[in-house]
Amino acid sequence: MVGTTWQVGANIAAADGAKVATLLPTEGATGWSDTWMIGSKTKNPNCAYKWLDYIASPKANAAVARYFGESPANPKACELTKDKAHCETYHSGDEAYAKQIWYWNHPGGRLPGRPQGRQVHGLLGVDEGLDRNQGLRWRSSRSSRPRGLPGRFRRAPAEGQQGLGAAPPLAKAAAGRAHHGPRRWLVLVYIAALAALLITAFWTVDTFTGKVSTAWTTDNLVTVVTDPSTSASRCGRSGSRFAVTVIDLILALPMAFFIAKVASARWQKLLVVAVLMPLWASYLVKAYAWRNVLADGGLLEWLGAPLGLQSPGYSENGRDPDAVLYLAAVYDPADLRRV
Amino acid sequence: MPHGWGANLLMYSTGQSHPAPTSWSAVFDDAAKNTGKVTAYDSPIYIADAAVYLMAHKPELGIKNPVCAG
Repeated sequence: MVGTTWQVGANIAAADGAKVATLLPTEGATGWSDTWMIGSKTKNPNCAYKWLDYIASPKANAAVARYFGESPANPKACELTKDKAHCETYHSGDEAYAKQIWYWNHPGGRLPGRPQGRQVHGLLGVDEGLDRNQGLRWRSSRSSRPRGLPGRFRRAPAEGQQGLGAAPPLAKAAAGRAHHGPRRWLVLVYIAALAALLITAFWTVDTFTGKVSTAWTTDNLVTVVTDPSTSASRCGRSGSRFAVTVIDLILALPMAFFIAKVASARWQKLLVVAVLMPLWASYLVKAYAWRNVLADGGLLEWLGAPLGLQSPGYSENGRDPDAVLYLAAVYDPADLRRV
Repeated sequence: MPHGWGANLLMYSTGQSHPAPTSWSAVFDDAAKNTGKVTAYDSPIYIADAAVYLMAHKPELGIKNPVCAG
């Protein structure tokens, strides 16, 4: 007999006395990363998070990995597996092995009968299936989760969010040093924020604890260029990025022109502040604000209902046109206002 | 939140006269050599396994990502 299997299937067959072996063929293979998700309308989110904390703990993850016949997502589980060779058998932390795997992902779009992104808390992004190295990554739900927010605002920030968080304190410090007029003040704050972003690009986030590691590394830059999950070759993404850039340009250039050439001096200041202020708000907050506007039953739908209009909805998989709109809305930096 | 991951592997019976497979060709192009003994995963996603195979053996098809159409 010959055919495709999961390692656990081979283990069960072998335990039943069948003489079988498995291999990762030369072409590479498809693969999977199984996840827990929380329904966005759950009545007991705290209970669900408690469960996640438990099931993600090294001890529980070790037991799950043994039962499931998988490489545990939590590397700390490897010390606690009953079979000490478990993580070796399942290639935990074996990057060369993981790179040969193409992870299954959902086809995107809206298919009937399939849970949509909007129906679950994408704790770590429902589109993680596209992430080829995700098996080696671990993002804890506990360390980076904002506590005390209403249920639908809870979400582990995307990778890099912690890095962005470093900007405001630096920006404040810069603001404190500047006493030479509003323009200089603005430039300082702005440059300081950009500089902070640049610096954090050379830092990494410990994917297990969510803590920022300040050791200098070019890993992020290498990943951007080489990792198919982030590079332009990632399906559907490059087009979205281009569309987001174009939409932002279309929005930002006329705004910049109006502020610089048309608006009165008084309005100029107000508008510059109005454009800059959102920059200081977390991307997460902005994302959720737009999400509430665009979602099913959201503001847009409520406004359009009397007219028989529907919200375009939102999607995080980066392929739908509405996702482009959504991203453009979140990321429109209006950086070009001074052109 | 991920709990674990793994690959969809090629499994074969050992202790038979023919050599162990090294390629997915055992279940695709060379499946005829194993008539009646080839199994396939009964799910639409199995087409991605064929795409992995074709990506390696038929570069003229231009498959860049076997799990992502278009």
